Amino acid sequence: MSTVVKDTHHDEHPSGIMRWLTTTNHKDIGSLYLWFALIMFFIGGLMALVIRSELFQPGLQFVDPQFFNSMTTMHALVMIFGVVMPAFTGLANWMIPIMIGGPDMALPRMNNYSFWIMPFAFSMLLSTLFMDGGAPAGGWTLYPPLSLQTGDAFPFLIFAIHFMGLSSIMGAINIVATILNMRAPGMTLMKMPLFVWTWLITAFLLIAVMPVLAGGVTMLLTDKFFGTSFFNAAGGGDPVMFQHIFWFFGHPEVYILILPSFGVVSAIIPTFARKPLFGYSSMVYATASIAFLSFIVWAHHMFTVGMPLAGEVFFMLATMLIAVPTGVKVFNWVTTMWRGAMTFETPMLFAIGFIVMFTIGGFSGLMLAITPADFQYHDTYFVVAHFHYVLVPGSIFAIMAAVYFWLPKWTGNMYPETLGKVHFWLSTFFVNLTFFPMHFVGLAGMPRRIPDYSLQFADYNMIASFGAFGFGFAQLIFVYLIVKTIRGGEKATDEVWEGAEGLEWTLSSPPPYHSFNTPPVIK
Amino acid sequence: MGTVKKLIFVCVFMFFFSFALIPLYNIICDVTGLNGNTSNLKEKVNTFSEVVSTEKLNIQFISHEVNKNKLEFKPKEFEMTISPGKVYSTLYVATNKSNSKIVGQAIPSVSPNEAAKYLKKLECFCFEEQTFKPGEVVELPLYFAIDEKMPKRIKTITLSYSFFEAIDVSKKN
Ligand code: HEM
Ligand SMILES: [Cu+2]
Repeated sequence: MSTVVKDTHHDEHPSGIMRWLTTTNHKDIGSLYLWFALIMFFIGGLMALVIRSELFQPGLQFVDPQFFNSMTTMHALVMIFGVVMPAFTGLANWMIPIMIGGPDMALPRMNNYSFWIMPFAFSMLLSTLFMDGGAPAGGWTLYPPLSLQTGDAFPFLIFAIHFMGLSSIMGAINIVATILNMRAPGMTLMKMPLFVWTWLITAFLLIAVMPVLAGGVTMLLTDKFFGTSFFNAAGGGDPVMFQHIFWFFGHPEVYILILPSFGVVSAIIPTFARKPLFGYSSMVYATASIAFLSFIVWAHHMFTVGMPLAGEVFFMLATMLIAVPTGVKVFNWVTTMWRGAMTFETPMLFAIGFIVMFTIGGFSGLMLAITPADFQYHDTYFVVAHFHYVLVPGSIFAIMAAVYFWLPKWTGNMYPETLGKVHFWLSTFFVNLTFFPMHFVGLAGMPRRIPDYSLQFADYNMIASFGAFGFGFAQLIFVYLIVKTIRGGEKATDEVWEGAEGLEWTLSSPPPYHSFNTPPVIK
Repeated sequence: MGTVKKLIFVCVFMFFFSFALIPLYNIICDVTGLNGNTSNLKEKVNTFSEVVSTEKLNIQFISHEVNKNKLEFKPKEFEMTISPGKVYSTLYVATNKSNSKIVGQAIPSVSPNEAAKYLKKLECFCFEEQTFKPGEVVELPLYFAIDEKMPKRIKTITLSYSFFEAIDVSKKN
């Protein structure tokens, strides 16, 4: 902290492309991550629309089944690793230093590398679409032996995952180091905004589980090319072992995708309810216990592989236990709003939408956690409905809420409020139109990851496809709105939102290129 | 910076931990008999042949052929009624329908998983690698017994074998 020099080189940086390639500034890198996520959001979205076009009607219409399966696989990989994770890392880069009163991230050079690995990893992944044997089509869960049948794309897939993992780990190390070492004097841990807390815990999860994924896919690689038999029954291995390794990573991963959203929502709700967050410390403990529990529930993804009864019961109960801290959070948000002087600007709308629809996803999760019921639901569209409710009106809505909330701070301009609201209502309408019917077809037995289906599912699938196209087009409003706000608009005040709390609102809008070179005084 | 070193250490540790999961998983399966992993070792007879119970139960034999056109691999009897504590024998039959040599091994699995650790094999073709010459028909013997300590509620056991061709790289296990 004490090594911070006086701001002699304010705003002095190379211009043009070199600025972005060489930048070590947390705000620049935050913006890069966010732009990257936005671009990938449209690439992943396009893949989703290929899926929904094929499923618009029963029968095979547009794409061959192999390509359809590549689309489901690639859509998931792009959305998880290319959109939600980088978007949250971008928000972390932008906001954490200015929320804790630090001058920058702790490891600025590494920060630059961890971003620039991402476009590289994703070019590698997307290039597989043009390879012999097609892009990976065995599902994002990469279960062997199916995933081992991938063609030339296989090593590219594995190395792309290695690089994404490396980038996430470097980002996470940087975030932990920043939060632990760069706080302004007086910014004790229990004074940190919840966004910082949730990211601290998320970063620990990343550091603990990304290496496990890296190990698992490395074993796939050696099984395929070097004759090992980690997952090959013929050589004494066991394919189910991969599922254990994958979900040991995979379940904490789904919390990596949601915990920062909890932080965002915990920042927005109090601002627009004009009341302090209810139960700050219980929020911190709830987040920590969710993170801890996420390590002992992985086999709820594997109820049908043939576990012994004791295992099924254990994983069922442990999974249900997570609903307790999650419920604590939802109740705290609702209590924060209770009798608040609420206004409903776009960020607040997205945050409230998050609470309602994330809870719907939580409930379907609870249904899936009931082992005997999951025997029916597993690998049906019900699971697809579940995780899309927690991820789209969950994580993605939280990211959008964060963008609307902080965009005036970042750019110095207010976004067009009416258009923001239109974006919210269209997104909410279409997201439900897309994913709600999936509950019904799932319960009725429609399997996931199959390009054709029997006739009785036709109506709901058509509705879902309409919804998906509507949702996709509604997102163009979002892009338009971001570009417009960057270009100009009504000037934002420093505080932006009446009564907003936190150090970021004490800076000018937009904040100086280097902020908090002298640490702020914390009350 | 101390924090960073510690975090990197955690990463490296977790990477190796993912590999350690494999032996850990096998140890857990062996100890608990989960996963239907039956022991691939010869069992000593005297540990369980003292009492012959009057209890009756069914044992079913099934097989999985990876490539039927190449190697036919079937149990001779599909079902037997047996009593715990007594030694029985049965045969699997392998027919090499191809015109090249087939080398490989049969991998057992038991259902329900809970029964796995009570199924004792005194002699089994699955203990070793098998070689089938072109056109050859081979009878493969299996001697087994059920431990009388097995919970009474289990009335039917299914023993399944999948025959896998050996991969050219030297095998593990
Ligand atoms: C109340 C909390 C939750 C519970 C009880 C829960 C439970 C479950 C269960 C039991 C499954 C497995 C279903 C099956 O395959 O048969 C599942 C799948 C899934 N969940 Fe959740 N879940 C919860 C929250 C979340 C959250 C917050 C996320 C992510 C943000 C998430 C993402 C997923 C994903 C991506 C899958 C599907 C993975 C796949 O097979 O591709 N879940 N959930
Ligand atoms: Cu899970």
